Amino acid sequence: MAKSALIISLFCSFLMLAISVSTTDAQQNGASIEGVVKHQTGETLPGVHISLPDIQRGTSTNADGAFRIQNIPAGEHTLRVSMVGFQTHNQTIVLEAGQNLSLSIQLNPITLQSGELVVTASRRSQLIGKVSVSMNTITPAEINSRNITSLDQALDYVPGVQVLGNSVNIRGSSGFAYGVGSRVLLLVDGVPLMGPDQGGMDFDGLPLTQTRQIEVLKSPGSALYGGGALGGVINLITNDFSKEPETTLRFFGGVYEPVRFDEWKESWDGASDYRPIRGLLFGRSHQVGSRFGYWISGKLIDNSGYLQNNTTEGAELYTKLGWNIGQNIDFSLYTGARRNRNYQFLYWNGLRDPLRPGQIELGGDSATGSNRGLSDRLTILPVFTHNVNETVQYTIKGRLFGVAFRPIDREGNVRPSDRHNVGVRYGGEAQVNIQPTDNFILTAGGSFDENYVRSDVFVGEDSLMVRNQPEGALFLQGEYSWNNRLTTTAGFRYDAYQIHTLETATQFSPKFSASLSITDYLTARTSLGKGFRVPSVAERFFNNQDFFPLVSNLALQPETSTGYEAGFTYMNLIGSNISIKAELTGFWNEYRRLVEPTFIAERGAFQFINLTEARIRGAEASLSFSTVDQRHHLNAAYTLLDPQDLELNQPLVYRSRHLLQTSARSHVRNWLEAGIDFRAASAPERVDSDFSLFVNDAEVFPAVYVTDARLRFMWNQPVRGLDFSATLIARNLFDYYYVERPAIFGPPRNFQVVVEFRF
Amino acid sequence: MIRQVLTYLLLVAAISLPLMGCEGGLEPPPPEPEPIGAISGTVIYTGEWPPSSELRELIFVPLLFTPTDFSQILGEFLRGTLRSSDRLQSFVDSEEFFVGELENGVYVYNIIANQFGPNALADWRPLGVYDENDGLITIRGDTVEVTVYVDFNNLPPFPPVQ
Repeated sequence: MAKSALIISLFCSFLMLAISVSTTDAQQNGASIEGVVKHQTGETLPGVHISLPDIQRGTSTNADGAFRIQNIPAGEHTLRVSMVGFQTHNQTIVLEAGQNLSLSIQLNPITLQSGELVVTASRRSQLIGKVSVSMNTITPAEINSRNITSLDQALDYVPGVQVLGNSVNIRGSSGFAYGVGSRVLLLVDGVPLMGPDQGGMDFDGLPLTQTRQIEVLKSPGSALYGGGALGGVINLITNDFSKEPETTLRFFGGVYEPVRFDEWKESWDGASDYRPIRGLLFGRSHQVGSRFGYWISGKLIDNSGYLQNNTTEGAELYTKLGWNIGQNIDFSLYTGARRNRNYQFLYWNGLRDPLRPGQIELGGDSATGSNRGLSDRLTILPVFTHNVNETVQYTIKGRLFGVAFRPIDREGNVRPSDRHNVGVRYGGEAQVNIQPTDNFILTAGGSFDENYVRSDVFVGEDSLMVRNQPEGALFLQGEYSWNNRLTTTAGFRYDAYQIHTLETATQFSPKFSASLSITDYLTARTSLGKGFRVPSVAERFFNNQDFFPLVSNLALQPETSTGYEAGFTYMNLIGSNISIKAELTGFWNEYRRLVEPTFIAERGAFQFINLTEARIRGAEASLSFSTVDQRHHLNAAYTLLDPQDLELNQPLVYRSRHLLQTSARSHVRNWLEAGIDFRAASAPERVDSDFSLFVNDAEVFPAVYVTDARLRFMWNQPVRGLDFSATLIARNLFDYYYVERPAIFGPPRNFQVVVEFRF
Repeated sequence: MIRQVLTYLLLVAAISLPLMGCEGGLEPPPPEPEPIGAISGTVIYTGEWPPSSELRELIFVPLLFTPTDFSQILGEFLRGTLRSSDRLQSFVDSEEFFVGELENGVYVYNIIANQFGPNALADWRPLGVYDENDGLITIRGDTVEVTVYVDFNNLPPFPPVQ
């Protein structure tokens, strides 16, 4: 099967190459112009339209922002350089016969977002204005300003995204599944980092001081990234190396305020205390000479939590080493190591006692609503990149991602010894980008991964303790710009994976998308994509009653999705000082064989089963204003969801119908920034009533209304080479009480002081 | 500067506060009623009293079930879960009574009970049954007031007619 996919892949590659080559202009004598188009920040801009309107010739910049037009008649011409979201650049040029004119052109964005480069939508660098699927980015400025210390905190502010405990829900794709089997794929620099055992996301394990941006793709992405991208993709893009050595130290400390209801304080003395949280983020980056570079990023955190038995002590260290081996040949090595000592709160003791873990009686046995353990993670990602010439680039990536969980007792000893999990995901991928002409880009590649899990709890009814799940894939994508206005993209990915013992399944995931610049300010886009997810080892084999009655399901099948969306993006200036970006998107996603935890009465336990077919359709509108000098920002986004279980003809569980996010950020003075964020999610129309059979009041799930505010004082260069800032942050300012996920109380009002030094 | 900060704060607060006002978020559920309550009542007698030899005991007894034979009431008594008033007086027109420490619930069979013979475990009969509110007394941590009528010329049957 894999062989036939390879043949199809090669055939398509040659077919698309032949089509594109045939469109290349024949060589003629005449003058030529070439050059590079850059953002005002200095970054090169791909996909910019270059035209000579008087002779109706034109091209687009390549991935490096370079362009070339040949065979131009001698004489005076008007050169027009345009791109959605940028001020159009017009320039008169005079060419003599045979002359080769070299230009360097700078484009100025009319909004902050228009200059953003993203890589997730097509596995290559693109301007966000050219992307034909729904995407959002989270910038380092937002991460720093809000003192975001984990990924889930960052995602709270992305339109259409909800975080339910340890599950990320993009446009209703995920409900609540106890943190296993994420329907959103997490990547670091394009490499999947999903837990090999539970298929979940690690919100903590990310190099936050060296994050260039976090990209959120809000539609099925399996055509590019394979399994797991059922509802979307989150891609953390790490920094390049700083030309000048740069060190960051960020200390933070704060407290959770005691809850205001005396009744909730009665059973736990800690509820009356201000519960502390403190930590340190640090990083250093430096391009050493012309060939070597490095950065490091680390975090130490000690969080006493606002719930009983809910503490975190953690240490993380990430490094990236870069080596320019030769001309256009680069090698980088990303490594990460994390150790967390957690006391994890699993479910409450009911609404009368929500700050303490509950207890479940299971016919003589009892399960407890908290879990103490030692969690270790190791990540190694080597990347080799070779720009063969201006049109061909290939990348070879390796990956090793290991996780281990061991329970510990009150004294911190690893105990008991028969409840360990070890999981390793390793593999690699090769990708080639070919740009045979200015208007055609081909991306192709293949990947192979092996998941190995050794577990004392994922035993299943077949009593095996070791699980292997190999996966292989081929992918191909072609992007063709028909003219300066219309770009289409088509591609597919063919995955083969072993789901149980010697049984192999395959999945074909096509995609198609198009973007049309209707005017210089308005772009229309549409896309169609498929997604799938192979159930994790935990979903299929978890057989344990320590925390919850859960039995294995060896027959669990992969779930699939098909997503359609269409939308408009408008970017323009209001007057000369305020830029506006408005987006309106409609989407329609169909899901098959959704895996949901369900109580099976005859087993007396929960089991993950292929439960339902579902349809989630909706619309999303976002509006952002910013001043051209980027000192003031105002954003608002609203998402309307219609999540339907098509078999039960009822709303899907744990999905909010309305999501709203607003934020404002302003440099009030050169030394003072103020910011405020508000997010709201309506109460789900339906929740899982099975859970409340065991846990008191687990069906309680009110709407969420959370407001965060901050003031940041900045003092640049108090001494030469040092920037200093201090931030006061109030989270959940109005002390609104909600559930973070079923049967877990959300954080009450809490305050943090953040002090940062950069030198 | 202050005006700018206030403008931003007001802008977001203008959106957030009305929404937050729509629903108050989590709060402790209303307090559960006290687990026990009481019945305070009056018994009114009509007709001719039986001879004093048949008035060995006279009490008010509320029951959470309708007995089909006397052994069921006896069982409650032996388990120590039967609650009753203090001994009532004989040969009076009316009298007030009180039964405390009653567990919450709906009491469906509430009688003035009389031990008419020497066998304290068997010689019992109802003289009057509470019949207002379909005979139901609902205790929810509070004290419920009732009136029970005893007509010596028309004693209720036992076991009661279902």
